[in-house]
Amino acid sequence: MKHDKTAVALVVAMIVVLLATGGISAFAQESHIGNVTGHANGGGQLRPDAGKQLYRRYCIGCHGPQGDGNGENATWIEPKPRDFTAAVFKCRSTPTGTLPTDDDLFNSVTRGFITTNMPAWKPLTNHNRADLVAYIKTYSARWKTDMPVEPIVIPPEPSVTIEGILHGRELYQKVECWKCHGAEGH
Amino acid sequence: MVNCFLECRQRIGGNSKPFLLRSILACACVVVLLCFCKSESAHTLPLHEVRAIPAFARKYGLPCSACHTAWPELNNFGQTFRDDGYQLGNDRDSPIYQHPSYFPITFRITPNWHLERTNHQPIDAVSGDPTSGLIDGTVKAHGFDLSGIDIWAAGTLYKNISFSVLPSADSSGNFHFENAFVRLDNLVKSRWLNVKFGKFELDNVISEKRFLFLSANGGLYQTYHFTPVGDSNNFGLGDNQLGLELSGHSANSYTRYGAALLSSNDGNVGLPANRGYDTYLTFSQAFEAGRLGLERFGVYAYIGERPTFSQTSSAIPGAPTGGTTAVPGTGAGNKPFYRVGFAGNLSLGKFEFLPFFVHGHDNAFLGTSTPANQLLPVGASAPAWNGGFIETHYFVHPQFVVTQRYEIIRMAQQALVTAPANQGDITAYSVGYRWYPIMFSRAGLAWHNEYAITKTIGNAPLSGDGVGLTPLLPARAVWSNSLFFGFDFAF
Repeated sequence: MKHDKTAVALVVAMIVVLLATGGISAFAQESHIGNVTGHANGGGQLRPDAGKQLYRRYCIGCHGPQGDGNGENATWIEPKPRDFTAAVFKCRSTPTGTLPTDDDLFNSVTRGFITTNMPAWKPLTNHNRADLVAYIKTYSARWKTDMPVEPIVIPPEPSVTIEGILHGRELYQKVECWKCHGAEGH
Repeated sequence: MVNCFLECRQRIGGNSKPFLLRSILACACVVVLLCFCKSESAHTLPLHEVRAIPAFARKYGLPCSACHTAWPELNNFGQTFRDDGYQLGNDRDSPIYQHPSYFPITFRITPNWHLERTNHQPIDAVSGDPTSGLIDGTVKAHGFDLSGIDIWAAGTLYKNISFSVLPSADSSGNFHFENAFVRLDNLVKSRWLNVKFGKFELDNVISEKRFLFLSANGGLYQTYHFTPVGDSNNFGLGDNQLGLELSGHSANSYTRYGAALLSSNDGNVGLPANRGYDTYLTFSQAFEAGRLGLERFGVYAYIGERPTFSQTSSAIPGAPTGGTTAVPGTGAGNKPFYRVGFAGNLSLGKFEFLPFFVHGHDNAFLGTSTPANQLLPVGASAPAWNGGFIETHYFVHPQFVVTQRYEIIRMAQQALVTAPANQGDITAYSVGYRWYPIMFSRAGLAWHNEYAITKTIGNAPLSGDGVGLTPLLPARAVWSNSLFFGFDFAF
């Protein structure tokens, strides 16, 4: 009986300590993404510490410790992992040459890219994915210097015309669709 | 080791001093503990069935920590990967995509040092003299040792068709198949319909195959293997079973269910005992709790039966003169039993909390080991008990986890009126830590330290330590201690 009480006391003490430390670290974190948890661009409230741990856990193997896409697996991956220090992202809702929105990054993390090594990280909680986005943005100064840009408003699908097709061909060259899709579109 | 660790810290761009200090302190603790131990013969370490698959990390180019909170324990991303039939949903899923030389195989073994000490064991009063009578004694052993080895292959055969085969050996090299199954996923294009066929782990919310304890006394969930004293039921919730499982899950595996039809042989091959079937049902639901993380709650029920006698034949070679031998696989006189309960996997930032509860009930014929074609002992009852544990993990960072577990089992009803009310009760406690000096996509290494202690009333400890016999008095508490440290590696 004496041993039982000692064991119970030990367990309770450890739980209190663990709860305290776990709770402190948890409540010290901030949430980040716009329509997920509230902080669209971070600013003064950006607290990427939580994202740093998650990045180390999930992303570092491909995107590397410096976020430059030179992780240990980068050699074996094609297409190469994204270089976060360049802050250039293909999949975004904003005009060419501008930064993506937080939602763009969040959706990319959530959905993954089926023809690449990037899996869909949907099993992570919304909060975790938001923390990751916040941390990814610490790799480039552009997130502090460039002004936020509104997403492109996509108009209704136009009718098929010769002029439209020619304009499409022009855009295909201009935004370099051919780099991935080929000059012949396949 | 230190150089390796420093290199690892340098790669992730962190400050190595606090981590190095912690490591030195941890090693110092172990050395101090070693100094208290006298040198005696080593004790055979029970086989610990724990799982992690670097073959998948190599295939997908992900670090161990992507799928494991701390390997081998799965996080929700790893659970979803497993639920999807070992598929991430990208081009690397397909076997044809892999380099021809790729083979999805993993080795895991743990060279270790451990100490086992168990008191109140019946030993000869004079060693070597069986006529000297039995006395109450303490058995102690320690030394360098090996765990068992897992040689595990798993992966996809085709889109939505996967497999797993796990030849596993104890530390002396005796092999058996711990699991072997084929899994068909996304039947009629629905993730809610998946079928597994073969030998596999029951779909428990808290997996004993993937937990973070390795010592003899701590390396098993007592509640997963408990049966009352004198009970003939061989079922263990932690034992892999043979059968067919239907399961399903949501896209992120927050919602999961499983229903299995299992042969009543507790996973033993060759139909050794019975022609009956058991059922296992489980359901769990996870919720996001904002900054705290993911909270999962689950319920389960195992309803089964076991034979109480077999057909016999005196014509079987080897049958004793004037006696008979049981015909394998002809168990009859089936009597029922069940295990029901709930479990959870709760997060609080870096803190993980695993509660588990089980209520067990066996038929009186099983509880008293009485053949159903004979009369029960006078006053016999169906034994029942309640058990559970609270396990906690504190993830200092992805490469360091502190663990502890407190577990109790209490008899609610003894099978025989002559048995002490608390005979068979178990109280157990384990504490330890695992440090992963490397964490990348090719292999895994963990420095594992653990201490575990159990108290079993009137019975041999489930760890099998000591001489594995009940104490001389049925109400006596048997204390068994384990101290364990070793390098747990997987490649």
